[in-house]
Amino acid sequence: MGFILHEEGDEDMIKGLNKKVSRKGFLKAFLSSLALLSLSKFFPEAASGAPGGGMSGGRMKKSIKTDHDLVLATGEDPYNTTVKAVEAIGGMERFVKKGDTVLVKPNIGWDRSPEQAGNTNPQVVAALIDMSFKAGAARVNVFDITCNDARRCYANSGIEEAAKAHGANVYFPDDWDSVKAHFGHPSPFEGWPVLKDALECDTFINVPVLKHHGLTRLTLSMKNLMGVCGGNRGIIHQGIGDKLVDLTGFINPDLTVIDAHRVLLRNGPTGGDLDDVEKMNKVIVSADPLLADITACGLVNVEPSKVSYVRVAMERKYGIYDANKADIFELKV
Amino acid sequence: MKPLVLARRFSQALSLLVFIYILWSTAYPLAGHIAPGRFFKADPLIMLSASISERIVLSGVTASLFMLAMTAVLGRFFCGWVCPLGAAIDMAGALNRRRKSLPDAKNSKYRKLKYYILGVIFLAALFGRQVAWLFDPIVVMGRFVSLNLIPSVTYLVNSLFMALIKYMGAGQAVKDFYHLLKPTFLGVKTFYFAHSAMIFLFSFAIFAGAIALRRSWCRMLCPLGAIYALAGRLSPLRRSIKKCVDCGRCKSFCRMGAIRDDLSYVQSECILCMDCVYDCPGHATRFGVRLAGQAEVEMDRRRPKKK
Repeated sequence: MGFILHEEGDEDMIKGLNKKVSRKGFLKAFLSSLALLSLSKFFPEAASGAPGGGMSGGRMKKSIKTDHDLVLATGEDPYNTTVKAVEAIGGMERFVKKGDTVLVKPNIGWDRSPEQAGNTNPQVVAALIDMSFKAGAARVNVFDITCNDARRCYANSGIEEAAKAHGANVYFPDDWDSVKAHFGHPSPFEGWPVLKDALECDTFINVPVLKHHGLTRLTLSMKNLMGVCGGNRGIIHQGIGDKLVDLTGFINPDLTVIDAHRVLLRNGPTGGDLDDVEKMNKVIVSADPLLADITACGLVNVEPSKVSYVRVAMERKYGIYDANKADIFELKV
Repeated sequence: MKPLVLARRFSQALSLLVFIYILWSTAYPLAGHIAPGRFFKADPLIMLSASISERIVLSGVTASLFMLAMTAVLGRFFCGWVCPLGAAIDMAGALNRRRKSLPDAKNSKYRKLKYYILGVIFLAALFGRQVAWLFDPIVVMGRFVSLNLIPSVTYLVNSLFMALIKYMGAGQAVKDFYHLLKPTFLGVKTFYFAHSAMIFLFSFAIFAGAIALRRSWCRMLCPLGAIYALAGRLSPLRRSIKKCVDCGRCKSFCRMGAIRDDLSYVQSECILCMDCVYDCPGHATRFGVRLAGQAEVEMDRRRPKKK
């Protein structure tokens, strides 16, 4: 019998292949594939077998040796003060290696001008970007999930303009591009969505602004990490202490820089009234988030144990919990 | 070649694109270069009924009076050449290649409906109620574009990139490109509006109606069309046929159902789409200045009647 080379229907198939795709047919195929793609949103679990969308254990903690546990710098110019403070702790080269992707995560949460001190000072952000590039960073990302309208926050905070001018990638992150936080211990924060871009960087620089906060008393570095969380963030404030300490251990920021150049003392976190803002001209730099937060409390005379997440971190002995035993270097610029 | 039809399509496409651009640019940082009120100020239904219901002369009412005057000179050019809803309705109608024509009695019954709607709008305006927003074509299209079209396009493009980035592992370049689109073309947020389903159903009914019977909305229901129909009657620019062979193509193809069984036309229904100029086999149909008394259709006496 031999091999059957031609089967009935082959001719038809070849004809079908040669047939021109009609405009209508193309449109139909295009629209239906788009519709299918959009439906895939409703089946994220099914699709999350692929890379992304799954659970994550967070960023590894790096052991970076610094010259001091913390540097508290005072200076009129926020850019210079930041540069000198980072140099004093050992230089950006300790934190950023050649070819690194760096995330500089400021507070851009509010539709406020730099004078109103609702967001991180753009010059502090610019200084960190410049130093990162000098240390060899291949790419510096700057973003935040904002509370007010994102475009207004980016524009009016002055951070978008400053960061772009200094060569950083400023963008609006996608809250669907996240992983679910997984902790090695029971946590009220288990499964919370955290931006993938916040975890996939080589160096995480957390740059909060020190300010008053109506619910938690103060916004400090640990609180600033909420800006890389997706989901309905309002409910994070219930039992926020444990959640933020878990989140900090999940992100493990390599460097914490607290901007206390202009400090909102009342009516935070939104603020708006310039009478509520005091010029303090300080910048805190530390590799330890808790020590940075405890020191920041001291600047505005708030007992650290009155800030729930700082208290929980101290109770859990997270990092350098005893500021009295820390090597704090004060610097005048 | 149908130069007049091409010109009309170009004008419609331009108007629709400008309309969409205006609504698309009503987002932060509000960098739109065309004032969003433009289309409304040129809309005599909105301007007149609102002026009456609010008992004030709305600023910018002159633009709409100018449109009425233009219509009195040219006829219902707005409906055929400018109206963005009309453009979308024509696009929907083109999906159905079979054209349907109705007998005279039905056409004349249907076309009266829009005058009743217009009457109700102005009666309500007299009593201080503004209800034109419900049926005004600019408002209908504005609702559809801003609350249905733009959000669904944004949603689809967002979903496409989400699929590429999250589930297909697209690289940094795709991500960067998407992040470039977000603050410019797409908007940072996808908006979901309350009642968008109602608005979609309303618009869908109009477009589905156009697929079943071309321009059915414009023929029967559009109150702005009714105003322009009243003004358009005065236009000296009229249709005439020299040496008509009585083939009836113009009637069976007319998208407005404006042509009667005897192949004369109802001037107030004509939107100057120029289809009949090219549908006419002997190129016998013309639009030009013709006084109301002059005969519209001159039969070709050499040919016997078909029927």
